[in-house]
Amino acid sequence: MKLKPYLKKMVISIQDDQHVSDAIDLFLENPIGMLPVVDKHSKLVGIVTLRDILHLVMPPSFDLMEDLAFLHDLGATEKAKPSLEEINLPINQVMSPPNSAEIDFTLFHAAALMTRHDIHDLPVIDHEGKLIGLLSHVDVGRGIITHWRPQAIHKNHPE
Amino acid sequence: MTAILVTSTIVLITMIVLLWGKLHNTVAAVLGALLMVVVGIRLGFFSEEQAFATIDLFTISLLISMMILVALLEPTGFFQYLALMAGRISKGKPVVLLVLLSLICSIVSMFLANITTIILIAPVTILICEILGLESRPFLFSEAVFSNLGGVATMIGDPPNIIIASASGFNFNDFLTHALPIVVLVCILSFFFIRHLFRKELSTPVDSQAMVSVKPLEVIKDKRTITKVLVVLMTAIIGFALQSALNVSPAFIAIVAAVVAVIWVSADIKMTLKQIDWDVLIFFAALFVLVGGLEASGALHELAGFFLGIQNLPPVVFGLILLWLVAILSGIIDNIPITIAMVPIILELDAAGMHVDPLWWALVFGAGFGANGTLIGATTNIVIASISEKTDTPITPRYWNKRGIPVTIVSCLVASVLYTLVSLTIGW
Repeated sequence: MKLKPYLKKMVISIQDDQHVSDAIDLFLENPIGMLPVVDKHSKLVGIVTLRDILHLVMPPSFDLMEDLAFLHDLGATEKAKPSLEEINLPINQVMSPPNSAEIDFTLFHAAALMTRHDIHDLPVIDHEGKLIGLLSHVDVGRGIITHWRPQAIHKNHPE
Repeated sequence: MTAILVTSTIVLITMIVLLWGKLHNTVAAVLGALLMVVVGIRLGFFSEEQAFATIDLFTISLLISMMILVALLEPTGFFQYLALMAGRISKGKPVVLLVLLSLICSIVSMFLANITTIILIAPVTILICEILGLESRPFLFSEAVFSNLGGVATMIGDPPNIIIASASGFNFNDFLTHALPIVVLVCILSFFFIRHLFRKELSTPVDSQAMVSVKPLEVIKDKRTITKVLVVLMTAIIGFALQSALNVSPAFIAIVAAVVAVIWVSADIKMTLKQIDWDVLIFFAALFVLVGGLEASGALHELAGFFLGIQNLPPVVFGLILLWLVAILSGIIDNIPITIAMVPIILELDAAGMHVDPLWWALVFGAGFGANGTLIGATTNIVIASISEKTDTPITPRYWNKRGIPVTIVSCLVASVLYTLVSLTIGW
């Protein structure tokens, strides 16, 4: 089953020459968790997640610890805000390399990529690497399990 | 004479490569050791068998056993618990926090490997500092310094001490009676000096409420393993103290302890052995071979002869010169190669009839206190600096040296005064 019918074609993206502040605006205007980053030819060059933006103010020691559940009050770290310098960082300094699916991949292939890379949104590109849409894990998951209903399974595997 | 010249050159080149720092220490030392054996066989002063025989298996097996005990404690949350307790008890007061963290690091380092202790305590320290809104560098610096100082106090605290104990025949109790009192005094005075160095950072107002709500017990993952390993460790320490009565070597006691602990906690042996710093052990082995070659060529005999020539110096002055020389060299290279190189020289002096006990102690103090001088003086320092790179205020070599050199001078001065006092009164 191809992924094409499940594709969201209206994708909010950000240009690679924009800044962290532009990403913050886009995240505030739209209920999304991930922004694909494209160059001037619409080629997908990276992704920025809301988590990447939050990470700007996360104390580095949080990454050094295996667990933080023993803390009941995060004290001074709660007040952290990004500096003006961080807000003005070019987006390509905070983005990460993209995991993407090509337009002729199957839904199952997309699901495998999402599980493998632990991501919730998967940019979809054409053969030239241009961003053409987005798949959410909800779309992909529902698309696949539609065929897992008992009546559908019964149809595929008659006793 | 050719042999002496060639072996000295090999050692010198190896030292330069170690200093240069582009090649991993272990690789550099193994290359040097190999070259030493090849040249030794060619010139006929050193054989393969001799090379293997120079590797001090007492030191290596004692180190492996102690590393196993730490490896078993590593995943339990024990070290994190200690650091969080310091945060909790201090209620976030910077000076009290500094005292407690330094105390924990020095006491733990007396019995367990510094590096693992630091790797586990440092992240919690950074976390506590961030929560309190404090700069973490003064705390990390003190942890490394006090780990190094604490290690000087016991026979098993520090690799140089293990090497010196193995060569001199000093036992666990000798270190408790000779090194521990001096280390305690040095620690107290160094602490006041460090507090003065960081007086500005330590007077930052903090958000103490956050530390009061911390529940250190929640960080413990495996209480039973902690209890078991600590019981084994305590028993081993008692064993070390009764070593002469038991008539076994410290290495044997440590091996028994490691085996008992592994069986008792049903540890996954493959996982446990993966935690061992094999690179450090191989580095030691290669250094033993290097120095063994130097000794076999007669170079160290010549050097010892030179020292014997200046024997008209009062022994206490001789000891003090050795203490400072080793301290400075430890800061420049690393205290382990210096210790391994000094051991055969002192043994030669011993064979020539000199009373060398004061020299062994001078070596212990010089190698131990010198480690704090520079960032590369001890592995602990390098490890703490690399952990601090993940913070906004990393410890750079400049930052370290600017504070480490004065701390070392203070501790060596205190040690020198005490060393002289002991030499002139009760004797070593």
